[in-house]
Amino acid sequence: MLLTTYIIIIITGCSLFFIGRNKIVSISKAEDKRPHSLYIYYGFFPAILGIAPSLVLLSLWIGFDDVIFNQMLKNRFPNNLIIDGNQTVLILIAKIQNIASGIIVGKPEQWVISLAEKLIVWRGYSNIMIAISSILLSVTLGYFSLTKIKIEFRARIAVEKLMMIGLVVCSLIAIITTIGIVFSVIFESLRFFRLIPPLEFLTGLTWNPEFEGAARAGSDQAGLSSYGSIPLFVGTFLISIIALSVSVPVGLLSAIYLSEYASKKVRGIFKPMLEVLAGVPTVVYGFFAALTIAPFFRQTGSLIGLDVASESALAAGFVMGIMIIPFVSSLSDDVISAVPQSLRDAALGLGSTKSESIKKVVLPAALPGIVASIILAVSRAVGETMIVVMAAGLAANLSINPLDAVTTVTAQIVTILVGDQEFESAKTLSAFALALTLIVITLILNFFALQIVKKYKEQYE
Amino acid sequence: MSQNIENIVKCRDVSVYYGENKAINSVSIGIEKKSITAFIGPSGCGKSTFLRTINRMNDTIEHCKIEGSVIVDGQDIYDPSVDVVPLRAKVGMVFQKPNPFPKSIYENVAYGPRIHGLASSKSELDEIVEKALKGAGLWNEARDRLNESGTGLSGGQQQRLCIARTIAVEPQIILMDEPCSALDPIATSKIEDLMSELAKEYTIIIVTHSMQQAARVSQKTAYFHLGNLIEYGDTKEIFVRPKDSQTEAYISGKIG
Repeated sequence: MLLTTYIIIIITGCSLFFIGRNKIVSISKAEDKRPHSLYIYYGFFPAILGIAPSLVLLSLWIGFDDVIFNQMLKNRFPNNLIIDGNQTVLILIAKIQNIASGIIVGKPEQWVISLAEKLIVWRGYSNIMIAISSILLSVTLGYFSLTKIKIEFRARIAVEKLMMIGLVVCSLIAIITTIGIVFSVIFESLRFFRLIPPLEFLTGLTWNPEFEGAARAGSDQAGLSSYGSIPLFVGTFLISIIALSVSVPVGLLSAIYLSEYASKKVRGIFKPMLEVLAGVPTVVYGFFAALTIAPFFRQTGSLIGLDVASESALAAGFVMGIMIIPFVSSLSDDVISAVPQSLRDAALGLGSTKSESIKKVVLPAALPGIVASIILAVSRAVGETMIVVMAAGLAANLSINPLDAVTTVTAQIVTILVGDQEFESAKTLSAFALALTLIVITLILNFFALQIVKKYKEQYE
Repeated sequence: MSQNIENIVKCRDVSVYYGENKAINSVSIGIEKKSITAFIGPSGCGKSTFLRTINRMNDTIEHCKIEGSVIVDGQDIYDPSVDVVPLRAKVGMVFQKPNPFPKSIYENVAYGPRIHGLASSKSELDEIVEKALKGAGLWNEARDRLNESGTGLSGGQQQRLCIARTIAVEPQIILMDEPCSALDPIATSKIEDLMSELAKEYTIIIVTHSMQQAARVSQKTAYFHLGNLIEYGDTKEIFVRPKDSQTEAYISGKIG
């Protein structure tokens, strides 16, 4: 039904294009005048007006009809039904929707079945209504726009305005989605902070989330649950620092080699190879870390009498560092190469050695860009999950010893949200609070990166 | 004619190749000490390339090969034993587009003395900077803003800053590669006055597109065409009585 509607609207739009174009051609022949714009714009104008608004209407309807149906279903629940909390309502509605779609589990109550039947009927009506109204809208707007086509109608300007509206809508979609994500995280975090005080979350030294369900089931583990996020953030920063101390020197020095010393041929081979590193999925790095690097560190450690955990921050950080190298080297290489040749000439012309000209002129000139690339690498390290899950472990130890197993914020979010969860439990909600804190930190980092890039741009303009 | 005047730069049969392309074809020339020599010629004639052989700036270009000998101050600069670093301190260069470092005015001038260790104390360095800025006629404009960025100056001031930066190292020769082509007439005339002033102490070789400029500032002029040195002699002679018909065509505006 909906697919047919889509096709009808598209066909209407296409015919509007040809009708509009033919109309202006015949008008201009009859009046022996050239129209304001090219003929093609007199086709696009009715076509856009005929297609775009109806498609938007159709999509909005599909997106929001469930909301209306759910409300209608809720109003028709039996009066004697005992409802404890929002959860039950959602579950009941999901049940009705499933039955309406033909998925029947067990033996549902009679009223549920009758509501499901009602839902099927509503959906049918709704589809017919939306089909008719969107096609009507398409035809009406198309007809209206065709009546406007005259020799002096400025079709190009009208089309350009419509296109601009389209561009604005597209950019709004990206912005609104981001805002939506942030707000959903904020609201869930607020629910978490109703259960656990923010101060405890931000300053507590023990991370030991437990299901409230465990308490209800009489488990003696329940009393132990605590939500101090400090160990997670310490773990995150420990691993990030290890990763950066690998990736920044290696990346930066290789960038200097590539941009200043390597011949064109060598650069043409090395740079794509480094960039391939960036394309390797992180899970591959993860098992590289867990299966190759971690045992290697463990063995080396035992040789010199150090006790290295089989899952260690060092292994995860080291491999993460290797993963980030291409980000640092590729971006730094770009900014170093962007330093004008005239500055290098000036330095060399004054009798600088190559290394003096790099250290004293080229690198300082490229510094803001280099710093920005490092900050992007930091964001990347802080947000990395897979390597940590596989190589650093999940134990929330509060430790700054790189040989210990630690865990990070993102790795915890994964373990909290994987598998079965209770929506209302502090454990599940804590994932959102962690995410919120992480988003704030990454936002601050990105903000600084942008500031620096801005400053860098001003220098050369 | 000029037997008693010492030639500080002597080039013999210098050819420059970019890969397979021959950019300079067997040029021999002697440059007089403490004078201004102008290289003129149409675009692509090789005058800039030839200028850059004198302090080996062509080394930075890949596939660039040089034949013949260039003797600066009695030393063959293409001898394998030669270190380019002291050579370039001796033969300074000012470029077509003003290219101050994105550092303060002070740091721009202090850069050269620092890397060559010319000053043993801060006050000595201050003196060198002041002297160089005075020598480039920039001191009065810049004395109160030494800590401001060199890139914030006007185009003409930037070019004078680049000259100050060059003379701070006390070179013997200053190569100028179309130093005024990015400047307006007033800034140009300031730089030209400055060149005449500098020629009392330094040997200046200038590449220029402007024949009027060559006529105004130089004592000797060399006319290049398609990689060949066509004519070389006293500026007055060349502009009034060119010996070669090609030179005459260029100077009178028939080609170029």
